[in-house]
Amino acid sequence: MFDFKETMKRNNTNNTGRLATLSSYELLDTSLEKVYDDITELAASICDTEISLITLIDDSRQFFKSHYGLNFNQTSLDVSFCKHLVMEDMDELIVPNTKRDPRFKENPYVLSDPKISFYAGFSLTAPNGKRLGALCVIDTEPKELDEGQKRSLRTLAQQVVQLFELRRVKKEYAHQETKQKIKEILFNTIVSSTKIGVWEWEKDTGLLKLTKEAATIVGLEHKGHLSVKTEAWEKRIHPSDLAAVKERFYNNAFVNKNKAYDITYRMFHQNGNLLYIQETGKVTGWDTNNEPAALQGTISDITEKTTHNAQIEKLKNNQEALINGTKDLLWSVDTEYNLIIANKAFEQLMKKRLKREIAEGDLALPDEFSTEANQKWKLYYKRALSGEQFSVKEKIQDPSKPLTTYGLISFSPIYDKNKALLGVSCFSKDISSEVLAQQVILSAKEETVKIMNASLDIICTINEDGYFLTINKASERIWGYSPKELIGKKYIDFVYADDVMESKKTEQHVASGQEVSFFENRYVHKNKHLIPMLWSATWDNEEKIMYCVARDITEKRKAEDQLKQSERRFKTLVQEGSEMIAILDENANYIYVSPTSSKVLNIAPEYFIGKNAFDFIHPEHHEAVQAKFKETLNKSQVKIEPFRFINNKGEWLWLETIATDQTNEPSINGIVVNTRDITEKRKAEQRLEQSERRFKTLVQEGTELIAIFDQEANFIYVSPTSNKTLKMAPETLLGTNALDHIHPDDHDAVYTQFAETLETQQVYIKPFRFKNGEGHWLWLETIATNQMKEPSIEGIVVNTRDVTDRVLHLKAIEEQNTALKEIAWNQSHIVRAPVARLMGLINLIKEEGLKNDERAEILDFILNSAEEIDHVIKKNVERTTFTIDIDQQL
Amino acid sequence: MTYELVMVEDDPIFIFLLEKAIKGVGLQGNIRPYSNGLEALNYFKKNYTKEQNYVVFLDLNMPVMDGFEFMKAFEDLASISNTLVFILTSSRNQKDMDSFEGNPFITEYISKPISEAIIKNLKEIIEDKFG
Repeated sequence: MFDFKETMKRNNTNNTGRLATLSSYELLDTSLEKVYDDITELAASICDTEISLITLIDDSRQFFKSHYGLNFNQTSLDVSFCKHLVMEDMDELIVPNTKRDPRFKENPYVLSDPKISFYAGFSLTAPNGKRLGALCVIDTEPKELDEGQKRSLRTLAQQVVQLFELRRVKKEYAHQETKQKIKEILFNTIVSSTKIGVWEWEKDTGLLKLTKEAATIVGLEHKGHLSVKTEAWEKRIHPSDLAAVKERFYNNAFVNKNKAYDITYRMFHQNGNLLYIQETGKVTGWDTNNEPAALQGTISDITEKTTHNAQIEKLKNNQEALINGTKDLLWSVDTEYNLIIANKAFEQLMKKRLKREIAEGDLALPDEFSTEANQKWKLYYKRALSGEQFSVKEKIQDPSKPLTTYGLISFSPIYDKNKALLGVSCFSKDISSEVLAQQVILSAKEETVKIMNASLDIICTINEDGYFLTINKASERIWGYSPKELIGKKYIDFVYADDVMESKKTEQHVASGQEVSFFENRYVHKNKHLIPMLWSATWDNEEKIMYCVARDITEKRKAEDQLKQSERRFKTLVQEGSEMIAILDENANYIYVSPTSSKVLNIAPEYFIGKNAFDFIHPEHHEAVQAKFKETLNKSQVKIEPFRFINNKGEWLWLETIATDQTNEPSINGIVVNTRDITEKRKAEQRLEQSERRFKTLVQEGTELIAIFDQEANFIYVSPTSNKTLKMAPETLLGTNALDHIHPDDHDAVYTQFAETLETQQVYIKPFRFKNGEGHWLWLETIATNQMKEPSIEGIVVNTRDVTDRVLHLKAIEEQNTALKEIAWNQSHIVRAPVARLMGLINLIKEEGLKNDERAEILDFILNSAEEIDHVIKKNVERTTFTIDIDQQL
Repeated sequence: MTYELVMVEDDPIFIFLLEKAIKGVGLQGNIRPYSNGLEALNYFKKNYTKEQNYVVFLDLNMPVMDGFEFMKAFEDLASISNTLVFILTSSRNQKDMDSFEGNPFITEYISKPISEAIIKNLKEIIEDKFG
């Protein structure tokens, strides 16, 4: 049958909460400890029993943490007495005579050794209300306990639980503190703090009864027993704490009723040292006024513990302040990636990101994070858990900050003192500013490159061995080499040979720290031209790099050269040039004439002075020149059109003049005239004009066709003579291909010859057939000249003549030749055959002894042959007359 | 050794003259006259043997089949070991001679008119070869 009550009881025993609480104390199977043995001994002595035990009720056994009067430390649960306290949820169980109790009389420990007759058990109840076991006293004789004994035992039972509690505190401490040393100190502290003294106080006597331990704590001598006056005790208490101590009975008596109180106060040891005392106590008797009449309790010296606690607290506070005060992230995870501990910064960051608190013990790889992120972090943790200590740079996303922050995160494995792996400690230092700085540097670099590449000047760095390290794109424009072609090459290899020495010298100056500017040398362009360069350079001693900027000064040089040249020209002009410079007054009288007049006009300068310019000018031009000369007064500079001027030899020269009004210029005070003899120029112009006219005539009215082709024989230009020559307007030919007009049989020959112009400058193209505008084939003869390199033409110039008549003539002659050849053949074969016969026959006749009939036959043959010859000759004459009529055929 | 004298000539007067000259110098072979290349070729096709020697007098200008065509066919049929070919021409026309340049069958070119003196020379060549 299902026993409901029994099941309930078993549930009490096996209540997981209870067992968990029990196991949290970590007491099971621990060895004997003097503090507990002291308590059992004390309990046995208080109750005058043979046996006293501290039992712990496990799921299937009871374990004795202390066993006074028994020599074994556990039994199975079915024989346990103490289990009843747990099963039936009782504070106390007193069995005066086991043999009369149905629950126990069959118990093997009752029936045989140790033959239990008396049992009194007091529950060991954890602060969370779970019953752990009991403090019990056992005897072989039936027994009763008086109230005092019971009280003592209850107190002792509480004390035991307190000890358990301390023990757990200690354990927890050990968990919290990674440092083993602290654990040890803490342990010692706890151990020493458990030297418990027991006291009893009676209102009637005003005496405090102290046990030996209690006396020892305060340094009093104890001979069997010791009672001190309450006042004497209170004198030893630190004045600041006295009031609280005095209050303790009454507060507890009324506020907490029957419950034990707990108070810590300072007290002076016999030797004057200050002690920290922890006192527990409980009112055990009440007077008629319902005021506490008797109290019982324990004291323990917690000086060491307290001071250590204080120190630890202080240390911890300092550390925490350090840890929590920093913005750097500090955290550690265990081998299962659970958070062991984390500083405030970490917690705050997580809270911001997760929108919830992350607590110690939580998985440090929260579900809110992406799988990728968690995987990455897991890998970091794993790496550290494999014993590696390393750092990584990571983006840290802080939702409250607009910018991405960067952390340098160090991971290091944590070991306990036995070198067992506990977890990973992580430290993330904010390196955003460094990263930012780096990015700024990078973008500055990019910016620099952009600036460099935008520069028209060459900007480059050269290392101490003279190699280009960097160079901007301007190199391509100025030197013809792209940066790729230059970087890694020696700069000196590109310097013009004559400038190498000077350049090297300058390089040394720069490398010695001098700043060099306006150094000039010449570089050899990829196309072999020389490029004058103007350099400035500085030396960076730290990087051992030369920073250089160079400018292409070709244009500047040109300008300089031009300036020099023009200076020279001026000199030459004035002294020995072909120009005459003269200064005239307003009436055109000569004031000054340059020495060049001898050369230009064949008249010495002195000759002119005082004479009037118009005396020399051809009367035809007087009017025009006069008008222009007067203009100078308004226009300051006037060009006077060519006019004739008589020289010393009486020759008329053509002069061209520029007159400049310098009457307001004190150093001159006249009109400056620059005069040039252009007689020759005029003659040349006239010649040119004439030749131009001639050319025009040729091109426009001649019989020759002039055309310009591109390389593919497309017409670019066609002279107007095409109208005449080809019966085609130039416009109809432009853009067409010459070959399209040429007879297909002549294509290949013409094209091959035309193509030769690309190698030979001028090529004669043999006559070919060309279809004219009327659809007739013309024979054209051509000379093609390559003028591709002539900028005004850029093509192949072709002079073409119509040679149809000539070619046809030649063709006719060829035909005639063929006819003549035929005649010759006839001559040799047809004419000569009968002649040869005749000769043979005549030879025969000459022979003697020919018969008459033979002779007659031969004569017949001779006649036949002669007739044959006659016939052939007639035919030949016919043929010859036929062939001679060529001209009529055309 | 005996040999046949094969004449390929369309002009009967030349045949007449040639026969006279052959007899005059005493060449011993049988005379076989043909008036064009085709007739001569037919004869050879029928009767040519390696055992027999042949001396061929060949005119070039003939009706039906001229001397050039005949030679082309004859070269395929005969061997130079037992044949001698003399070309008869009315003129020493260079073009005619060039067309046989390097032909091993051709021994001599004979310009018409044929005289006994010429045939005497040939007799030496013939007897050198055919003994």
